[in-house]
Amino acid sequence: MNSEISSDRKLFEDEVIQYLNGLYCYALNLSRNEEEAQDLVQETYERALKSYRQYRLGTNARAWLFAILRNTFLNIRRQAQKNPVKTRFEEQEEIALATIPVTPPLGTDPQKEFLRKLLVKDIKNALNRLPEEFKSAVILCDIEGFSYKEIASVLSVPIGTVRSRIHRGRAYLQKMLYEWQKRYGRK
Amino acid sequence: MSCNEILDMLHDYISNEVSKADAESIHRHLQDCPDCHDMYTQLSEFVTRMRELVKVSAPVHLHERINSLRKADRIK
Repeated sequence: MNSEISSDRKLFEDEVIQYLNGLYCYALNLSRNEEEAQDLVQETYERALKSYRQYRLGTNARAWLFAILRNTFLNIRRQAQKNPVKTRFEEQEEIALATIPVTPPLGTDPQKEFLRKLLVKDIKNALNRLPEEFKSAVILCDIEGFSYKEIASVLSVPIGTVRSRIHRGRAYLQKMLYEWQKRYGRK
Repeated sequence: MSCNEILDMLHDYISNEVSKADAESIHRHLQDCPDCHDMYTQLSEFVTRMRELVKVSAPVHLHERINSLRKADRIK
């Protein structure tokens, strides 16, 4: 085996490999399945490594990798036709998204209680009820710390669309989680 | 800036997506306005909590899989 590699290749590998944890976290939120998330990350790296010769140093490798992962996920879903058309329920959710207030009406103390009672499964359930394009915008911004410009490049949409999806996505999550807590009265 | 203008920009402020001048104006307003400050605290604490709860690392065997892939791709 030839273990000697060029310094450019090494730089490229070191650059892309550091985003593995973030890619896995994003893949897991998209697919909701550990095995599928791992396959998605592997597929992303296979594509990235094959594209090494087209890669130019200075490119935003992180945004590029996340875009590959998302496109891979969407292609697999399209091919499997798991989500061929939007259901009536999903359409209603999207309409609801357009009409929600900025944040739920909480004072300081109820807010602390609300945050204290939040559980991983609640957040994941709430995220999974967001349409993919809203979920991706919120995760890329709030979990991965991408700028709006980077998110626009990952999602291939204008920055104004990213901004709107983040505002509405966050507000929807807050409202949904708050209402679940009120409804189920978690102590 | 009015309260309505601040509320419009709160999400972008939390995302660090406002200009330095706007960030300073918002910061000053939040120090003087308890209602806007409450809205800011609610949103920023929610985002922080969500990040804490959702963030996960890849399992060790996935790191191994990707390292094997990297080595295999070099000898193609």
